[in-house]
Amino acid sequence: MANNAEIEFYDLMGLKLSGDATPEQLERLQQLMNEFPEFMTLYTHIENAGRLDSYPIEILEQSYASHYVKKRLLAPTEANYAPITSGKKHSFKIRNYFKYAAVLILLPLVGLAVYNLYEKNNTKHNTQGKFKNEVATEKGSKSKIMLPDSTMVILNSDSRLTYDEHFNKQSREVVLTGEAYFDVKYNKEKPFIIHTDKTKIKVLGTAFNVRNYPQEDIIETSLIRGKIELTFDDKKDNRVILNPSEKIIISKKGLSQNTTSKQNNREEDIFKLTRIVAEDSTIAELAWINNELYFVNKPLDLIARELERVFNTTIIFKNDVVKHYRYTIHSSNYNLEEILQIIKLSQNINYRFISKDTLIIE
Amino acid sequence: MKRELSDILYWQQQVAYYRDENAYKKLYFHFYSSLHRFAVAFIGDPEISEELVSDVMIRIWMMKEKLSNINRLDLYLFKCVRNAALAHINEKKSIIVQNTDEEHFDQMGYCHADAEINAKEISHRIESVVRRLPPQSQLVFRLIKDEGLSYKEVQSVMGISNNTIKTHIRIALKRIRMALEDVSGQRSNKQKIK
Repeated sequence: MANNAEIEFYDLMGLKLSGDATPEQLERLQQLMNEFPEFMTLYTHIENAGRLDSYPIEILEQSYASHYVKKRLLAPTEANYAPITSGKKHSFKIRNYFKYAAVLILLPLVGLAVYNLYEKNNTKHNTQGKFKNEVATEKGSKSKIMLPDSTMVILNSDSRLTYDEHFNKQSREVVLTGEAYFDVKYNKEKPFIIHTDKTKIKVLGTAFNVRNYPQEDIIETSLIRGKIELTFDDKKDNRVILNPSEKIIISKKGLSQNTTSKQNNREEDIFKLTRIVAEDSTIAELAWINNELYFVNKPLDLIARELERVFNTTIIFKNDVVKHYRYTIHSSNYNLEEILQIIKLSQNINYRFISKDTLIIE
Repeated sequence: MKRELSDILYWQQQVAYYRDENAYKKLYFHFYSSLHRFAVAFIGDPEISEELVSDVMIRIWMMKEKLSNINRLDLYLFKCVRNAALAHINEKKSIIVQNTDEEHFDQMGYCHADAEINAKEISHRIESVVRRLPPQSQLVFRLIKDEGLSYKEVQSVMGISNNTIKTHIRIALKRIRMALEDVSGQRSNKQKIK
């Protein structure tokens, strides 16, 4: 029920805001505002409301960090190109009984073009009973996979991902040992579920990192984008939902504790929630994807285990004390010598290679 | 945005011809907030919007030298995001949902601790109203008010007529006016908000 003056005012104000108003129009606008104080008020409020600020720098950093992961994979820079499965020990096992096995092997080498090929070949041939699809990596190499639903997975060294013929029917379920970064294709109808040791991670459409190495006592999940829900096989009542930038560290020991014991199992024994931080556009938990190593105040034995996995090298400690020395290291190219040098310089530590792929720290 | 045009063009050249990662990052940081808000106004979901904007920005990188041919990168990006959003809507056949649960992105730092009307409160209310506008109206208003686009530029980005733009402005301003109705004119402090 706006009257003519009101409509005229709105039209003129719009032109003023967009910078399109002619001098005559500006004059007329002023006239209207003089005549109707409420127009003047509205005008002032809107002018003063000011331009929306840019998002806070932390949001931008976070967003850029996960964007950069995607960009690096889909459009590697021409300089410093480090393909995901490059490296001397360029081997990975693929074991399955399905026709597109050949396509999976080609995937890391041929890149994007292969994804289309993959989708075309994915006709449901095999009806002879159950089979599993498995992608596994050895130490020293990584692998990039696209699942039948277009979800992208990057497998870190010494990891395995399996799924069966029911994948992408009612749900999308996979089993993971090791470490992988998931960029899950959005599909509200078919929940994407990752099984790790006694834990299920359910997602809708989102990007996150899961770490579940058998040698480690912890399961870690870092959420970049979206929302995920974690449930525990043995503790049906516990349910955790992660929001972006949150990270959960689950203790495997805590999970397998006997629930019949009189003691109430405290939540702190099972898991801990923290945040992930993007520093200098790098998220520590995702550094491995870009062939970077990023340790923040980690003990040397943990670092050594990671180096063993990344470089397929055995590291022996002669001296137990140094295992607890803590380091913060950010290295942007996989170079074992360089990292060892850094470690050597900062504390009184020495190392030597006793064979091509074994070294001792003392 | 217009006065920084020379910076943007410079970064474009750096990315197009020198594959300059720093320049690319600057472009990303410069455009992200606007593009993301734009996408959210279309499809409602902040996470999917983030993916859409990310995909558009990857395309920018992949264009290589062709990037230097674009005169108004801001308009180009808005168009890309709009197309991506429409494609997403068609794919999902979902209704455009006005996502009022945007606390996560309401990072303006407004302090509304008490009920006292002050300049920030008004800004917050206006923002609140804008967010609840019908999607097209919200988009048009934002492009004009926040991004400083002209009517012609809005026409180009949105693919709508001048009259349609006028209509959307009328809707937006009327709603804002109604929302601010109970703010009496005794607000004398007219300090400019950054």
